[in-house]
Amino acid sequence: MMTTRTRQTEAGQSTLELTAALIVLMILLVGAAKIFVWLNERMAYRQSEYERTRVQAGSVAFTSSIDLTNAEQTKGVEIDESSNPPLNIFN
Amino acid sequence: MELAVFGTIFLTLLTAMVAYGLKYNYNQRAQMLAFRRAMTIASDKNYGSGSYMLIQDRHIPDPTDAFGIGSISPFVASASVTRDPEMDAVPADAASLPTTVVDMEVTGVGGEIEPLARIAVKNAGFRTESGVSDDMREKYDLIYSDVVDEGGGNVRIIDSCVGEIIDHSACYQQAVKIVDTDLCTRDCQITATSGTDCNAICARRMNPPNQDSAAYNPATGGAWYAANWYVENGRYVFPALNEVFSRVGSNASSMGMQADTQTHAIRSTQIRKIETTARIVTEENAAWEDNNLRQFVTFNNLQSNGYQVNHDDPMDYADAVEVQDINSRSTGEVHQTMTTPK
Repeated sequence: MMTTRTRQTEAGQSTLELTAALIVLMILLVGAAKIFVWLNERMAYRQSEYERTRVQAGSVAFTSSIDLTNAEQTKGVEIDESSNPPLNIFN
Repeated sequence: MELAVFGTIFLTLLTAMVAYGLKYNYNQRAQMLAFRRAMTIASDKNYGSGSYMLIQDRHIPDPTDAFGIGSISPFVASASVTRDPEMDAVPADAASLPTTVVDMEVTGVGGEIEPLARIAVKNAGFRTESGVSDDMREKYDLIYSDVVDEGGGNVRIIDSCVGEIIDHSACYQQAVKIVDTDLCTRDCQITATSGTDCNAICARRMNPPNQDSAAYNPATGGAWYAANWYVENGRYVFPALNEVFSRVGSNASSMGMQADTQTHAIRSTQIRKIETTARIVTEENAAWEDNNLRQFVTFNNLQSNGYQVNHDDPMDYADAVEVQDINSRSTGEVHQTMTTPK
């Protein structure tokens, strides 16, 4: 009678531990998936911004004054990512 | 036990997802930046075309690591743009010679990307030859495509094999076309316009080295990289060209940024646990430093006017090879304190 009660208690204990651990693991997995989805979205937003600024980038007038040693002068129409949605794991 | 195994698998999965996501993002961004910057360079009338290479050493965190430090990964993107109106333009001076701009950027303090080095190198240079008759000239046009007649039998050649970065296989192919009449003819039949008498043009002799003579004549000038050529086991050997690339490195086939990288990684981690009757305080401190050492090789044989420096002995051209060390250093620190009441 005593042995059966001990086994039932141990079984309950391990189920409880498994449940707690699975919750943590699931949070980790869902969090990682959210980060992955967010990173993918960033690529799509960046591509869209890149396409949007194509005409502007291709319409740069001919010049004759670019100093190749000056990084500022060789910057193109660069992608503005400030308006992209920030990472929100709980949303 | 099962939980430990599954936990490891989950963590590995997490690592892979974050690392792949970041890598594709950084790659995409680098490619876009490279193309846009090449477009800007090409908008200068002097250049007409723009070649740009971006190398970014980015820090990628690793969740499987106890402190999540991770390592540095290189992201390389390059682009070339030629503006339509400049498509057939022939470089007239040093400023208009085709140039490649190489930018190196590295993860700095706080994870922001910072500039490390900028190198602008010419992909071709001017080379002159004298005693070139009208007959010979056709073969020069066929081999080099950009040849300017300066009168009196003098020509100015825009030669990609005398630029500040040269490629072994491209120069080897060019040298073979100069000394091998059959290969010259086959190549001509593929690339030249119809009606071109490839057999007749390729049979003509350029200034030596050519199909009949392996000697280089500094008085008239010639393709020094083909000098002293011979055939070994059915394959052409060009000692002067080989000597140049022996200075670049073993088995190196091109100049510019070399593929080999030496990485020196330093990691310092510390965990401090203070346990009192009321609480447990855990302090984690980690510092890391990654040094990626690369070599950038240039062929510094151009004068400021874009013309090559001439040497009497073709083997002396190899002395112009210069190897520059570029060290990309990234550092970071992680500090975390956790207090757990008892």
